[in-house]
Amino acid sequence: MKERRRSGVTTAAPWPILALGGLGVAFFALPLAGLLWRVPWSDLPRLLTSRTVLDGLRLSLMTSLAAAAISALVGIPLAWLLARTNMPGRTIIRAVVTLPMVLPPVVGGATLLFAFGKRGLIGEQLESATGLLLPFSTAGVIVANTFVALPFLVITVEGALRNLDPRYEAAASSLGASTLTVFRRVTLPMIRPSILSGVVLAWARALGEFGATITFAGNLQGRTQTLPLAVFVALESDRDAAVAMSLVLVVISVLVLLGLRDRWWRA
Amino acid sequence: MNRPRADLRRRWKALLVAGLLFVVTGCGASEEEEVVFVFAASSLTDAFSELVETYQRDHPDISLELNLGGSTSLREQILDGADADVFAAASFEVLHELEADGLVYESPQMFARNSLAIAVPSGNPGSIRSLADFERSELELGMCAQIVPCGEAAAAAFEIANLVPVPDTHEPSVRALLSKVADGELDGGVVYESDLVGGLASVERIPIDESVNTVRAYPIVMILGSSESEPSVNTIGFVSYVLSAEGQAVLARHGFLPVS
Repeated sequence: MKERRRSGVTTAAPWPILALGGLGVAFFALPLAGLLWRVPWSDLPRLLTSRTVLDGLRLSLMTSLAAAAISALVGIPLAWLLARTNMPGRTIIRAVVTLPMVLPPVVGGATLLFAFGKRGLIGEQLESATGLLLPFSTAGVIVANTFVALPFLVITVEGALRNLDPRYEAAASSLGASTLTVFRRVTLPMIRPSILSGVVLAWARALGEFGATITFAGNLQGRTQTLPLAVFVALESDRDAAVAMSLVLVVISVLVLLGLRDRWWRA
Repeated sequence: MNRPRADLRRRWKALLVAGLLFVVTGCGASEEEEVVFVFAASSLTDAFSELVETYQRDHPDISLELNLGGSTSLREQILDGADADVFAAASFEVLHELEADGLVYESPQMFARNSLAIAVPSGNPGSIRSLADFERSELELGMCAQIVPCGEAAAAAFEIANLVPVPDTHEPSVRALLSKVADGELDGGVVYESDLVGGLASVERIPIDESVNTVRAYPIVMILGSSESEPSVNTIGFVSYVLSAEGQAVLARHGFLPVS
């Protein structure tokens, strides 16, 4: 506790820093204020209980949570491989893994189609092997979400692994623990805060996913139309509904970010 | 060692200043020069690109700026204050709100008509023959979202034909739908005739029976800015070009039906 307070030493901010920093705050606060200003408050209950919103909300929560779970399952081992081994071509692998962070999501969605689409690289084999046709399915939404969300988890966890003092792991193995045991009993618990923040980042990215989803999975209410897609469609037809749905997305995100920030991000 | 570095720094500074000047004056200049902003529905992409190009060839002193998008999103842009002089929409209904707000000069005029057709990937893997095949759930089928005029028209056609389609996606634009058909991800999609002209080699056209097909009229209208009481000469010039025999010939080449 004491240490925490010391790191938060307060000094009077010089005015240029205060002014520019304040500008930064306004830059984020004003659009939010604009949204709140446009919300049709009296009509809100009706708008938020419409079939479109409820379907979108259900799909959004389900697919983003699934994407976060898959990201954790695959991302933690991947981060360990990148941080702890001398795999050949590690730099290239890292570049490929983090590519979706830079790529426009629409391009990401198109590449997913080229790979898993009906006429894609392995789409046909995948369908005959598993009976799963990813485009235009809820599973496809999860794939698109995972594609854009996974890099956030890998980067966070890899950073944590690199900052971890290797002596703890070395001590454990010197006492006879196998590599897998060390990973499970020493490494994972020690980087737990980073894993949690990585999962939250990945989940947040998945919740807001739009471009890759609409390109790869299409747009069908109840099956692939997540809230961001529903907002996009409604922006062109029913602005009030679009604003109401945006509000839902903002509220969910803010609540989660507020709730988690203090507890987990202060590792 | 020090000198060249200082030189380099100075050069960077000069470059930065030049860049800033370019941005500042560039913004200023574009406001003074007469530009005609033409807003056109996505389905008019190719036709209006050509119309703008040919018109500019004959009038090199006039600058035309083309803004393409879904009719409704273009309308919202105009309502939000976007600079627009001409608006070529895919339906008359889209214009109601603009007319109510007094943004429209005189009444909209029909300049083209369009009907629906079915797009299938080359070879027609789903053996689609008519709208009735859109009731087959084993196929991957697409329509435009209802907010896009092509989606509305398709829904109307299905209703006239007394069919209940089972689409797998409602794409936000004709182009998005068509590219998924071209890629073979969808076995079929309902699009405009004009979307099947010229463009994609990997798409085949299945005609829709006239008895259930819907014909849509495209209106063109001149938009007044807040400080304008009537459109500029160049705006009027471009609109009359679209309505002229020459303009109509361009539209016909792109799959649109003549006005009458």
